[in-house]
Amino acid sequence: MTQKPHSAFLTRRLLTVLVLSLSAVALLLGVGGAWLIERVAEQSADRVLSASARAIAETLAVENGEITLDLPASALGMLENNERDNVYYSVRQGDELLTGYADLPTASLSGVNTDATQFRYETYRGRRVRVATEIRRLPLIVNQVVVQVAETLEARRAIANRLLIGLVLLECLLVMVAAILVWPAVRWSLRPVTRLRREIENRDTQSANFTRLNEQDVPMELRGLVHAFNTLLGSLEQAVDRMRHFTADASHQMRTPLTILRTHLAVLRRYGTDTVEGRESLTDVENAADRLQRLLVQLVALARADETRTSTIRLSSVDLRERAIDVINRARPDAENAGVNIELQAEPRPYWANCEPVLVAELLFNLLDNAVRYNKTDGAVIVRIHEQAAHTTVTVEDNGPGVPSEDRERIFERFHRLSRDQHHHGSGLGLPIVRALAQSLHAQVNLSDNIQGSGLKVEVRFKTALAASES
Amino acid sequence: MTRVLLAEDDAALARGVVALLKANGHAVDHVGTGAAVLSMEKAAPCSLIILDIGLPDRSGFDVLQQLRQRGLKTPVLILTARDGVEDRVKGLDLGGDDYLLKPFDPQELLARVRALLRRGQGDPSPLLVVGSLSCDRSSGEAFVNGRALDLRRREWAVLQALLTRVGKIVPRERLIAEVFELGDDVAPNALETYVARLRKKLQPDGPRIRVVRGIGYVLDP
Repeated sequence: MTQKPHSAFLTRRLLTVLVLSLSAVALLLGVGGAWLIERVAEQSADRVLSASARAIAETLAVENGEITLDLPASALGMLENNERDNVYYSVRQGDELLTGYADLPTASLSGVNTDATQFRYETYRGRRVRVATEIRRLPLIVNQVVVQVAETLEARRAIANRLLIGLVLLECLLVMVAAILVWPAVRWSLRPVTRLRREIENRDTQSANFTRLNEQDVPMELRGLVHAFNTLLGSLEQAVDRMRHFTADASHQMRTPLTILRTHLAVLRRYGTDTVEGRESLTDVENAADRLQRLLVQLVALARADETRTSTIRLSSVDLRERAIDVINRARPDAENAGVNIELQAEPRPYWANCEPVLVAELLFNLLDNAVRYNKTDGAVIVRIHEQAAHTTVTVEDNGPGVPSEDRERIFERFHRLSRDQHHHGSGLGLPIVRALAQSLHAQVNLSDNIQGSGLKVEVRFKTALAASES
Repeated sequence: MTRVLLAEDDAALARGVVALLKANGHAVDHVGTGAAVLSMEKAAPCSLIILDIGLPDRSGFDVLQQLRQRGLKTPVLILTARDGVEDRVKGLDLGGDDYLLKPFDPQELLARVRALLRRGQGDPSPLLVVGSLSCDRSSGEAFVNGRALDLRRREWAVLQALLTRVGKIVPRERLIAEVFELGDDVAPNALETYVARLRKKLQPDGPRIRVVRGIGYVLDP
């Protein structure tokens, strides 16, 4: 078996699909998670920053028209952390700095809601900082008081990074565990397949065993496979059966004439050839030998016809009328013995059909032979050839008893003979040969009643061909 | 010997078997269909039926089954062209006594016919001895005190019919049924003629054939 990289191992395929898709999901989760982590870290740090700004703002008071504030130690102390972020602050009244870092920039505050703490990022002294702005209006003071607290971003980044690293590690773990679990999972889910294989392996191979597998016993995914397998078994069984029947029938057909030969040879030995019994026996011996010979000829013809059906034969332009005349001349002696007249009805010109000269002659001969054999004494066989559209048709009609329409399919079966014909020494192979040959010639065979009502009409339709070139 | 009914649809084969059986001293009737076997057997009992399985109207198995259902004890030799074991088993199970596959050796057919006839008469031994008369049913020869008897076919058949029932009266009708074929044009005194000739050949030292007037004949031991 050739091993294609993508179909060689189910495990590898599953692994690829699983790892790729899980990684994609992990990536998406990572991006989403990172965004979420940023937000959560920012919000929680902002809450502390705003608390600090508010604590400063709470201490603002007006004394004698002057603004006073008492900077509480805790207000900036709550911002202390492991990462030693720098903390800056400023309190301004209008443009006038009340206390804190004078160069801490203020944002434009026009149109800003003054009730809630405002946050923004700023670059201060060369570093990114987060600034919380608290705005207060004090009684009797014209300008609003702006309290700003700023801190550098190390603590926030540290929290976000820790969370991100944790998330990535967990995702990697998930993908790895899933990948490792693929092997047992594949083995486990393929167990029904293994069981199926054992069941098939353990079958008795000595005798042809066509017992179907149980389709209910397997998982849904395998039912199609098992069903297809069973269908294959079914057609194999049919083929083997047909073969078996054929050999049984063939040997059965040979046994009777052989028995006749042996029995009558014993009679001849006893009576000699000069007695009445002896002369009768000689006739029977000759007839039995004829029967055997015909059977053998027909068996070989059938085998040949079967062979042409499976091999491609080269079709060429054949004059059906010329072939028919040949075959009629071949069949005439037997027909005359049986008191049957054969007549050809066709215009005296070539009828070109796309077929093969030897096979079509064989086909026509079998048709004629049947028509003579199953005719009545003084009966007639009429062979007609005519062209119609793209087809050239040969019909053979006889005056025999005909074939009831319910039997018309069955008489194409090998060795099938109508019960009323048991006294005929036919082989039961004529029509099967005709059908096999017709198939290899791409021709259609149809049975119908003779126009006069009694007798059988066989119609074989060939594809019309252009005139054969004389080269 | 005694009358055999042959059921075989192939005319040529039937002609051969009939000629062989006749040549060996059997009276033979031939039919070609299962229905004919059943009606013929009812009309005229025979000593052996040779039955082909492949009859055109009904299977020989079917015929055999019907015959046995009637309580018929006549031996049946089955002829067939099918060599499946199942067929053989079926034939014997349905009440066949022997089985012969076509193509068979004619000598084997004759030997089996003789064996079945002997068994049907309750004595499987080929040699029958009554006093000074000894009769070899296999070779078809009879001797009185070592002197070979030159017996014709019908005479042999009469002797067989009487020999198997030594000391018992064999009715005239029974004797006719066993000696002549159904189609035979039997003259009114034909049987008497054969009996008379046979009697003459047995004399002077052989067993005596006695006439029981109005009933039949007895071979005295």
